[in-house]
Amino acid sequence: MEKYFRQYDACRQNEKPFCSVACPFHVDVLDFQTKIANKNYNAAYKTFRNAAGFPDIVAALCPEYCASACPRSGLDQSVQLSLLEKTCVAKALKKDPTDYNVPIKNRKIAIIGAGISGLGCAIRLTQKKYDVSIYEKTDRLGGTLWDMLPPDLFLEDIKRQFKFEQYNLYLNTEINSIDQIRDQGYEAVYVATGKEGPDFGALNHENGHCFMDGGIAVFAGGSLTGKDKVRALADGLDMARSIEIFLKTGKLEYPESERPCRSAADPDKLQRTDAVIPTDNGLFTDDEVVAEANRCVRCQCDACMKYCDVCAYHNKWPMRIRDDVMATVAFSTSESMIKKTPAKRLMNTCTQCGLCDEVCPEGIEIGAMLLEARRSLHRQGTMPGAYHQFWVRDMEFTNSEFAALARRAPGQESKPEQGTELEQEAGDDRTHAFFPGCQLGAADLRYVTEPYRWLLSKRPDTGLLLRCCGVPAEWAGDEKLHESAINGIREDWERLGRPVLIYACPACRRHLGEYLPEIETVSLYEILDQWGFYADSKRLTDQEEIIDDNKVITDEKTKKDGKVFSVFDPCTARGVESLKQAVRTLAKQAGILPEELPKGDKHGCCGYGGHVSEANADYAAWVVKRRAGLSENPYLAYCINCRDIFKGEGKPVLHILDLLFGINGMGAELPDLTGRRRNRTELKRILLEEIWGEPMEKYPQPCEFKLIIGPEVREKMNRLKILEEDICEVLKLTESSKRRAYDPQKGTWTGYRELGEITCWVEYRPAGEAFEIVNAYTHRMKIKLEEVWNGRKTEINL
Amino acid sequence: MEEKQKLICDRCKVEMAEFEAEFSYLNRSFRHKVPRCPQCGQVYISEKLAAGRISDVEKQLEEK
Repeated sequence: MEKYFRQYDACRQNEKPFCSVACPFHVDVLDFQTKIANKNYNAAYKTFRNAAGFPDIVAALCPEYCASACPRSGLDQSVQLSLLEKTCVAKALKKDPTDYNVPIKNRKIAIIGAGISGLGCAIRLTQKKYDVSIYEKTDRLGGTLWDMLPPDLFLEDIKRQFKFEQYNLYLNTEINSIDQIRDQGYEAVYVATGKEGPDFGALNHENGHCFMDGGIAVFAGGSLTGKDKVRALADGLDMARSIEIFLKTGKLEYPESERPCRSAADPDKLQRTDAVIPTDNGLFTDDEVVAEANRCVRCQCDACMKYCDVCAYHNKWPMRIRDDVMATVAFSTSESMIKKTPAKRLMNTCTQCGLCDEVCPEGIEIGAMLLEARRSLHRQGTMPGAYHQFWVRDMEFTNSEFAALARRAPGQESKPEQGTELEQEAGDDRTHAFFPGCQLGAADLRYVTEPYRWLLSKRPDTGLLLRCCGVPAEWAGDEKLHESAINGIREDWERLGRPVLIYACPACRRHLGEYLPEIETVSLYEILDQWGFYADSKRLTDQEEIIDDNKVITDEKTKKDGKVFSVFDPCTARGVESLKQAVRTLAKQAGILPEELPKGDKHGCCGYGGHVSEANADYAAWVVKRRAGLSENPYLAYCINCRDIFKGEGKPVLHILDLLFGINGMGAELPDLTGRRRNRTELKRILLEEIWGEPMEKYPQPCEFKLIIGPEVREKMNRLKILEEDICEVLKLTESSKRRAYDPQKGTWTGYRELGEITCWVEYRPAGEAFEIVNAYTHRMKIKLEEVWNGRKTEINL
Repeated sequence: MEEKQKLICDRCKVEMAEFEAEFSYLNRSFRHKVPRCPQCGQVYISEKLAAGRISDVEKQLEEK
């Protein structure tokens, strides 16, 4: 957990934009632009003044250091910040500084030189009510500003900024040595004597242009250190901070020199927009201000907020999520004072798509942290059990004798293990086994039978492994269960002679690759391509039901015929180029034009990953909608979960196997959850009988009641993840114990049973020999102490 | 006002009435009045309660 928390030290969320970093005053450009874009010149002026000290002077002199740093400079033209500042200064009406009520500090500071740098230092220190004295060898303020600007402009600005501040000014007083003012009680001196002025020995010390001279801290800056006018002012402002640090801590800290900006520009935001030409005597009009300010794309490193569903949906920056996770994980592990678990639900909404660390310039793994947090919660026993119960049970069913199957191809039982000497002699003719995953056959068993028959026709030694890859246990944070699931796969794989596993779902590939790296895997789609699926001419007739094949397709014709699909690469296939390529090749051969989504494979999960729907159904629905809206085109999926999720959302979608084997068209219905389990059992039965000539020995126990369930209730059961067998379990209890409430008006009984972490209620009425299920609903809370009532113990046997 | 649903405990054949019942979730307990059988104590929770108040409290506790 610590490892993931530490990654956030590098987070660039709070990094200033490029222009702010390049600016000697580090003007808060995001704030300035927001205000000026609202034509709020007074507020924008204040932001500018807070950074620049003397805004009118800076607006007049600034050579726009930010221009070359602006990401627009490489596209059209950098945002004209200097012109915006000039316009702001000209249009602002309330320019007087704020008179803060700050207690007077009896600490004396001397400033030598009343040029712009010395005045910059003086304004900051006097605002904080230090006792400041300025020594100037000439008879006026401003130094070399007199050579550069109209005196009215800068004198007025200086006068305005010092309106509420007091300082001692000694004109016509040349200081030649610190000793001259040593007995005046100064604790610090700022030497701002201008270009080629005296430095009193302050230049070029180990930690900058500063040193201790007999108990007085002497700092030097401004033009004396070779800086131009604007940077000299910035130096003065910065020096005030260094002097204050010295007064408070006794440490000499010279202002830092420039550093590179760590922000990250978002190329998507940079749309070519021509620079606005000012028409108001060299300044912008109101409308021009708004247009130019809105050319600024407000650079901020925010790829996470844009791409990560968890960040975007909850509107939480990763550092905030980290803090919430820290609090949640700390809860109940130690004597933590924090009595909240703000991220319990949030951590269970991550789809584990892995996009976060790919888009983050620092590679911060939000998803991995959230997964680790789930494990932590599970270890503590504080994970809400209902979040993952359905999926974990689903996995257990898939791996049970009713659905799991690990077989070598008929006649291959005695073949040696792959990797042995004998096998190596046989060259590259490696044995394979088809690993379709748990959901493919559940969605439609033909998705497994059809490809497997074809694989056998090409390579009769291809084995079969029907079981779950174990990812539901991983997503539930249940390490023990996950380990046993992984061990189960390893054992089966070894029994099959260590074949290359042909996976159909990229989610399985990623999971096996992570936990069973010893298993070589290849996608079904690459195999179909390599083993010559389209060399079989008979294939063409199979597709006709889906799309009538014209053999030669042109882009124009394809578009006209509505055969354009956007390939929805599942998140688990991101970056797996050979797999992505194989799917596109097959799609083209099947007669459609595969188009890329606007961002290619750079998108999150369809919404299935991480099993998030029980933790936050609204979030899961939001994710699906977001992904379904990436393109108007129908989608071509090659992960069955993407296909099922989009289909459930009403998005037109086909699985690549639909195209290749003519399995389902766009209008196909999805089986319900009960149907999905039956499909798995049926799949095992069919394959055992057809391929190995064996009967299926064990079936799940059928329900002892005949149930009549209407479509509405069925739909609801699906939504609430209630299976027919769950209904049957409830009825078993209510029928035997008669623990049920009778509603004489409706003629229905209602009773419940605890099914693990869920309490399931069923309302039903007799219908001849059957029971009609009128309603079903669930909750997660447990009903306590029901067995003791009026002092008597009652048998409830839930 | 919606007419009150009349319910009869099928085991004791008596009409159920509002009594407090104790619930627990994520190591916290609370009480709420629900229809119960005055004789055997059997609890009835309507869908309205399950999908409304109970669901809200569950969500709150999951974030507490």
